[in-house]
Amino acid sequence: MIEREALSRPAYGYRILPVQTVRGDAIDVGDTALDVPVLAAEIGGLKAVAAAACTLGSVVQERISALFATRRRSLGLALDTVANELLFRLADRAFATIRREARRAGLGIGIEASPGDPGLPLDQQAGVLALADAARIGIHTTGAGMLSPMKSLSFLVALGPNLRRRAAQGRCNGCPSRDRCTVK
Amino acid sequence: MIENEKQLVEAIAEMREEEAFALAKAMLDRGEDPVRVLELCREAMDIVGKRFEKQEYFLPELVLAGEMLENIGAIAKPLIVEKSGGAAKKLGRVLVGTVHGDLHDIGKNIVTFMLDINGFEVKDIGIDVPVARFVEEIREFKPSVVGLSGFLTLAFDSMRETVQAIEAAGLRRELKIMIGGGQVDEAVRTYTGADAYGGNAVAAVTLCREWIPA
Repeated sequence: MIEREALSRPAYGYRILPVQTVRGDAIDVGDTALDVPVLAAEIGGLKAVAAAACTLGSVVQERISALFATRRRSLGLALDTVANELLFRLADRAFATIRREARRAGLGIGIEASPGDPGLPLDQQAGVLALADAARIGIHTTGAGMLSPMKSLSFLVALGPNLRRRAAQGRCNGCPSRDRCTVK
Repeated sequence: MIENEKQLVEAIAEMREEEAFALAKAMLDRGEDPVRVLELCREAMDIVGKRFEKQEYFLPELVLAGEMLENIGAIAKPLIVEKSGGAAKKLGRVLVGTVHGDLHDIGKNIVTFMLDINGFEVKDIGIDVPVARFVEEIREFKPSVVGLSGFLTLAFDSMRETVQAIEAAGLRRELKIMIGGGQVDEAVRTYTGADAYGGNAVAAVTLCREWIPA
């Protein structure tokens, strides 16, 4: 269905930027100051940050909403589930690209966090998107910090020569909603 | 419960969609009471709800069971209207919406659907609903329960503002407020001033059944 109706228009973008200073819970990256305690606390030294944004585009969400509106809820729910899975796989691909580039630059990978995760407040969303140059692939934030298109996500990855990704440091491990999550 | 009634309940509870519809249609074609057929559907729904709570069933089963009820209801309800001369009485009114700043709607849509098939009169006022609109809709629709939905943490403040506005409008005492979505828990409930929170659609139905006596 996704293929037949061309519902998914996947795109991702990222930038790897040096961290100028770490000031308590804040980090300075270029012209942007981000309040991101979870990255600022990286033991081993935060030298750079990768900012990434991924999207499936707006059509798939429109189709999901239309299915619910026309009472085809099972299909809407199934499409929503598949779309979420596609989005996470797209994020994995973006992460893998970042990892390869970081490795070539002699940087290790530390913690990964998305706005709204513990240690990266949701109100930092606009800053994260700016760092990722997300507007180039059509992602922007609503005034309240939600991403548009809805099937989008953004994340930061801590980079530094002495950083190592901890075992079982999956994207979901730090999420407070993990036990009740129906998405992952 | 006689044999074909047991078969109907089992077919729905076991997600045998076509069989359930065929059984229900056969019962109605034979002239069996459409109210009884819908009662059996709701018994099956209770079984599905319990399996959902035990995590034997998940959201797809809940939604599919609801759709079975809806499809059977589509052929049973006109017969009730015919027999009784009026539409089946609804259990009570529930107003549902996603609070301002949040655009998520799937959870809300599933709750609305489950409340509807469980016999409540539900009005869904959509997503990103301003505080003033909630107040206006409460005045007009006069619900017994208001459901505030929000997926993001930003929704907590919106929920709190909405509850405060309902209080300021002098409408708070006449209704119960439940909240639901993503990261809602008891701490959020206390912060927002709601009466209860629901972790899923089954919980929302349970709350409404407790608050709105049959």
